[in-house]
Amino acid sequence: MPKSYVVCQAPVSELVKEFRVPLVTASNLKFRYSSSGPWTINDVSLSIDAGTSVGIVGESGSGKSTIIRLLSGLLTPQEGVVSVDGKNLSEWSKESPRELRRFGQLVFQSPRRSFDPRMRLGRALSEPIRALEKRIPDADELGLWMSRVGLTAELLDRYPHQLSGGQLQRVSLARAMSIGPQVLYADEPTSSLDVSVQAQVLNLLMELRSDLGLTLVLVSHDLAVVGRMCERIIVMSGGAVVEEGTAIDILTNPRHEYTVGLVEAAKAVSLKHA
Amino acid sequence: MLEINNLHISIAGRSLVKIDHLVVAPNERLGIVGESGSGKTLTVLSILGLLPTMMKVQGSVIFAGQELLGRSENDLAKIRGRDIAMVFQDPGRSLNPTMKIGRQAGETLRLHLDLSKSEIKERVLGLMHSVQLKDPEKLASRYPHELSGGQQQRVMIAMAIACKPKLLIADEPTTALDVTVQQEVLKLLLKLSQESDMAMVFVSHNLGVVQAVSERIAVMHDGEIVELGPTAQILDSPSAEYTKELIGANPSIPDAQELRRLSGSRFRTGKGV
Repeated sequence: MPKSYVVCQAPVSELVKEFRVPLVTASNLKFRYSSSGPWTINDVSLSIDAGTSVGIVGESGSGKSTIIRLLSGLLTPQEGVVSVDGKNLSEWSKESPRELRRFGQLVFQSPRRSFDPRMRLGRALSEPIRALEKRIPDADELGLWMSRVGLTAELLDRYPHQLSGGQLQRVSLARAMSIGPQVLYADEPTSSLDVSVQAQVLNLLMELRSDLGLTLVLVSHDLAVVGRMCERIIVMSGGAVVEEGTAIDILTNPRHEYTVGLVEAAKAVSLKHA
Repeated sequence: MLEINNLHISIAGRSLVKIDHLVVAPNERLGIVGESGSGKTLTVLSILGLLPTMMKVQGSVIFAGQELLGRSENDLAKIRGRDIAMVFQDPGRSLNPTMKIGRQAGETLRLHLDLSKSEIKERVLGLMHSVQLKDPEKLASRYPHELSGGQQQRVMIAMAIACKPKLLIADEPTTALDVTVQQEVLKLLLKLSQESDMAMVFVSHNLGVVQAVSERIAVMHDGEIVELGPTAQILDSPSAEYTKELIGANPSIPDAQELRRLSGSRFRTGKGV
């Protein structure tokens, strides 16, 4: 059954909000997938404050998925620097990769492709704890995480193909949260899901963010979702940041020509009803 | 123009779709919405006899006075593309990857009309122009993978309208496209439908998209139509509980007032909104 959107409250103190502590910053990042190809990310600088929820929007090929892979350390930029919690990301990644992985976790678009099809979900869910904390979580701990994302512990014995897309995406959220990250990077986490399941997963994401005090970086092509989930929006086009601001500014008073077109197109198909 | 009565689609004794009555009037644009598995695609595929043979279809689908269910493949092939055309979700999968765009776009014309090679070429370029494809001559000599998703879907639409069908069935035609391209394709479909007196059945899970093109909406759930009515009535005063829930699950872009409310709530601890 579809569920309506709810609004959750993040336990971010007024103090953090007031002082705007940068948690992840990127300076003049440049990245390309092949040494002779065009720049996928071309001179991008941005800053993400602790405790905020930031949406990255843009069309296919604008570089939004690449930028979160650079910010989370999955990719290394050819030029520029990423700083996370005041440390240089590439140095941190070499010195203590486990600590870096614990700091920031990713959730991807397709839950089916995020799980090893031959691994039971209990084992898959325990992988980050095994790898980063060097211990084997017991059934109670895993069951707790399953219940935290609205699933039963019985599913831990199943294989990924035995769950629906929405259920699997819940497990991938639980897996990401199980090691207590500070930042969650979510790359189109609901675009492969049906509209009602999408609402359920987004509500869950907001609840987790609220309860655990996460910084959320949400990549999406859907301005309606980003407008409801994020307080700041970064607009990307052609591998560059064309505009950045609060959700209110971007959605009600876009300045860049590209953002104006994007907002106008999204509003044309945005549901209007009494 | 199209009348569906007591349509029942089943597989191995399990009922998938059950529609008592559904009518599409000439020039009308009807939207069918629902979640995955609600039966919307099965319904439209049954109109053109495109369902897998393992599915059992019973009932009646009358188009322009002719019964379509039970017709031979040859009969249906004459109707497909000429009287009723269809545009699918993924243009990349609908186009033949080994055939150049120009030749592919001319297939419907070759099949249904007695035209010379040069006439077909001329008509194809005209069609590509009417779906607002820039530089049609150059595009006609390209392969599908050399076109963007938006360009591919325009080619599919050009092929669909080639024989001026009376009814166009569009099954999630913009789901695979970016939002700006989506808007252009929707505008194009609306314009073509209005200018050429073509009725349209528009299938989507996205209520906002359906609202942008449809005059009436049928809401499907578990293989049945749970509500049917004018677009404004369905969206502003839905009567079925499921429709209300579906509307609640479709996010809309928040306006300034709502954004301010959301912005405050995201930061404040404790008190709910």
